[in-house]
Order: sequence, then C-alpha cells, then structure tokens
Amino acid sequence: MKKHKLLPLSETMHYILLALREPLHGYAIMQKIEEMSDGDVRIAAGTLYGAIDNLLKHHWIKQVPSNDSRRKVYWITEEGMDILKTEQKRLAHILSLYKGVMEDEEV
Amino acid sequence: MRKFKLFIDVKKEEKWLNEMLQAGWTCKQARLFGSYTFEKASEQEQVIRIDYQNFGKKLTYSDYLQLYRDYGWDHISGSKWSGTQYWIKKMDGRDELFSDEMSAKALYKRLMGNNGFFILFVIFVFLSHLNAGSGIFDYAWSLKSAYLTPGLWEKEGIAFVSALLFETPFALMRFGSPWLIILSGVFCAFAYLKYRKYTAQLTAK
Repeated sequence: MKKHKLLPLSETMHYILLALREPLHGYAIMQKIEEMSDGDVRIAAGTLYGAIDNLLKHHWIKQVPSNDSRRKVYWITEEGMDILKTEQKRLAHILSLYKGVMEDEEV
Repeated sequence: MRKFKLFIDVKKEEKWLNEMLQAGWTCKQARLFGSYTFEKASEQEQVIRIDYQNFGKKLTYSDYLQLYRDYGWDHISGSKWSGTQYWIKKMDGRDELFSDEMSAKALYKRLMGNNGFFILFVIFVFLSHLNAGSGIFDYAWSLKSAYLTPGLWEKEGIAFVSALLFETPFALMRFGSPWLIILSGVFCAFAYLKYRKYTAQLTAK
C-alpha cells in the first residue's frame, strides 16, 4: 500500500476516526474525544472543521442520515476502518519495541 | 461607533479588535474596505477570532456556522463569499480556533493561496496592458489625458465647469484604477510574506 499523505495519523485525525466508529455530529465528536482521552485532547472548532473536510475528501468518513436537521452526522467508512487497522499494526509494533520484545503478530 | 482602518494582515486586525474589546468596544460588523461598527461592550471578558475558510458542497457554510456555534462562538461578521469570518466568545480557556499545528498552518496556507492568486491576477493585468493604446495604462500617466469629453479644454465658463465636473469621476476611475490594482497587488505580496513568516514560526515552535 502506497503511503498516504495523512499517514501516520496525527493525534487529531486518529481520535476523530476512533470516535467515528459510531455515528456522531461535529460537536459530539469533540465531546466523545474529550471523554476518550480523559479530558486531555480538546479539539478546537476550526481544527475539527478542517479535519472533517479532509476526512470527507479522502472518503475515510461519510455523512449518514440523521434526525437532526441542522447538524450533519458522520460515520467512518470501510476505507477509514482499513486506515485504523494499518495504524493499529504500526502502533502495536512500536509498543512491542517499548517492551523490548518483537511481536510481529496481527493484532 | 464607526471606525475605518485598513489591515493587510488578519493577525494584526484580530489583535486590534481584541484591544478595542479590552477598551470596552465590541465589534458588531466588519465590512469591506476597513469599515467597522462598534458598540459599547456589555462584557469585557470576551475574545475575538478571525477565521478564513472556503466552503464546499459536502461541508457547507451553514455546517460551518452550526459547528462553531455549538462550540459557543458567536458569529459577528462574514458571509459565504467573504472568506474572512469574525467570531466572538466569552473567555473560558478554550479561546483558540485551532488546536494543532497542522490546522493552524492550514489557515495561513489558505490566506497565502488567496493572496497568491490575486498577485498572479495583478501581474497578468499588468503584462497584458503594457502596450500603449491597448489598455488600462493609457490614462494612468496623466490625469488630464483621462478626460475624454470631446472639446472639453476649449469650453469656457459654466459649460466648461459642468462638463469638467461631470467627467471627473470617470476620469479619476480611468486614471486611478490601474494604480489601485498595482497597490493592492503590493499589499497582497506583503500579506503573503507575512503569512509565510507566521507559518515558519509555527514550525519552529
């Protein structure tokens, strides 16, 4: 697989993709990430807007129907899930180096 | 209160608006050509941020407004086509529009793109109008040549004055517009370099 320009994922992109394994609207993505990171990661409005725009363009997330007429709801695509799997492998490998053991198995 | 002030650099403009806020004046509207409307601020612990965005089909202008409003920002000024958007919010420690380096840089890149485009446009206009008798620079060298009324300078008395007054706005336009275009090109080049500097500063951090 050719290396994508958004890879390795930035902290912002990583958290957004992880949060969007369930359908959420913009502000709810931020809240979810704050919760997931124990209040450590607070994505600002402009950063989130730009990231959603970028992820939509790369088809890693998509808009899904919702009851909220004012807020669009997004969800990760299969392509987005593949990206997460690639990243998971990369990070698992790095973690294994921390432990001083090489574990090249699939996670 | 109305104020006129021209800014080339949005960071400086933002700084000025926040200084006005500290002095008790909150910006209600920012129009083209540096025209600002202020009102007495009811609350001083507020912060103004200027954003610059392009909008598309997938993520529309109203999606943009809704997201920022959900974050607690109030839209002061800007439209779908204005590029710059003015936002105000009560200070609460989450007072920035961008929380990572990549997105902060992307703002300056959008501004550089816009300015760069205009610089190219000015260069194009300049080059394509250089030949005498073919373009906007024909009247740019002397204001007198920009008066095109036949026999104007032979007229006398009231007839001369009224013809002169009638033609003056047109003459000023013919004479002045090429200089205005070049001046704005210079401003854009200046802004471009500023934004490039800010981008480099972000990298160095």
